[in-house]
Amino acid sequence: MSMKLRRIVSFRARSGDLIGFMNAVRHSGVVCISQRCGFGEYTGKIYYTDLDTLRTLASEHSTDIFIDTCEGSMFKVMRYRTRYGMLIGVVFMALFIFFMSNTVTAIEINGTEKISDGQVLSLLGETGLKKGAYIPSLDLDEAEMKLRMTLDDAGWLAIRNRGGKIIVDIHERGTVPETFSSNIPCNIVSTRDAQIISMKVQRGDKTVKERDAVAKGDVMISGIMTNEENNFVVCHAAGEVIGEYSEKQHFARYFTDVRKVYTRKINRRYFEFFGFRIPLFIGGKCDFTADHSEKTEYFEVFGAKTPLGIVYSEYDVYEMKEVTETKEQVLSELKEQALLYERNFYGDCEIVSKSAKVSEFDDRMEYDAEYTVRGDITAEKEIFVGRE
Amino acid sequence: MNGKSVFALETSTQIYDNKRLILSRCRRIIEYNDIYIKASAGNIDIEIWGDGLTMDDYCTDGITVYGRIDTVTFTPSRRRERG
Repeated sequence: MSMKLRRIVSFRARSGDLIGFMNAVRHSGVVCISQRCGFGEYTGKIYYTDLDTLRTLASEHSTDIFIDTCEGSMFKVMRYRTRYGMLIGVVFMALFIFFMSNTVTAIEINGTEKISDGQVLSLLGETGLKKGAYIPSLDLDEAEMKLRMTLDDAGWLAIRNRGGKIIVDIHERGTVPETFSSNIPCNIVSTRDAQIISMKVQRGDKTVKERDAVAKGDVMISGIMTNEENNFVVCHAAGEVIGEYSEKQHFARYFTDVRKVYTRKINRRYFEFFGFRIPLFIGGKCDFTADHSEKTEYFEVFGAKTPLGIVYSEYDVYEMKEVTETKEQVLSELKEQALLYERNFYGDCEIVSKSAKVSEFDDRMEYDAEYTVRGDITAEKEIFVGRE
Repeated sequence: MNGKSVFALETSTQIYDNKRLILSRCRRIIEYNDIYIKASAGNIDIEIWGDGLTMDDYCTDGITVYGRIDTVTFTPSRRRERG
């Protein structure tokens, strides 16, 4: 299918010196096709831009010119040349396409479960790679390098862009078998005063046995060994020693203290448009102290996520006030603190027993907990070998 | 051999079946109608007889004639004869 873009007009010339006119057209440099001459008429097709020349030549040769048809898409386009709205629309569309192909509208993270999206997005943000960033100004290699240096769980990763979408492919590192961290000679010493429950020696000589009591700093696995020829050799001692030890922990809370008092919740919504946010509320910025959380729900078309969505933003507004709590409330808070402590510090250990003592004073309540715990009590201590 | 042939300035004529004729150089159209075209092409005048003859001119010095071509006659131009 041929598309006639240029404006072509069919003309008809009558009377006068037709042959002379025809030759004048030929020598004037006017492209003229489909010429036909007969029955006192000379017809042909020329470009619209040559029409003025044709008229001049016709008047010189006393010939009358009639325009029959006008062809070409440009005629249609020129018909709309004063429709500025359409023009603005076309310009806007061109700018929109340019914007879409050069601006980060979405960041997709694939292939990882261990590493959170938030962590990756935060690291990418440090290199300038975030929604709304201008793609040609981004250094994807630098961003890749940054992720590789920071994410220990990432075995292989690649960052590429498809249009305005940045795709981060991360392959997690597989489970690496336990190996000796170094070849520097060392002993394994105890980190606490404890009773040994079990021992697994991977390298070195045992200096204690199960059920023995050890003090903090005692050598449990020695890195100095003797071989068959009774010569001393040093090695990097390694092993696991589980010991049982007791620990006391003290928690206290005042009945009257300055605490966070949540007063109200404020929900705000934004329309996210290619990384930009358009507020869907009336009002200014939040000028109050609050805990903030938000989630974004993107619109989907046939299962594919679009860069348009609604951001649900929630503010828990609070004030710092002097508050007096009841005994029950304080005790509950103290128990919660103790639980949090256990979760944080004894997460890898086994709590054999726990006893707690609650003491109540005029202004405060104290919670003393004593734990008997079984856990790893090993630490490496380097052996300095002198040379003569 | 004359100068025109040395510098390849001779008029060439290509005929495709009896439907199309391309004349590389055409100085002037002498006569033109539906069944007859006479054109001056350098040293020769060319006469084309046929039916439904149309012509395209792309400003390349030459012309292209379409239609059912019956006969093509070449005659030395009168000016040349006089010389």
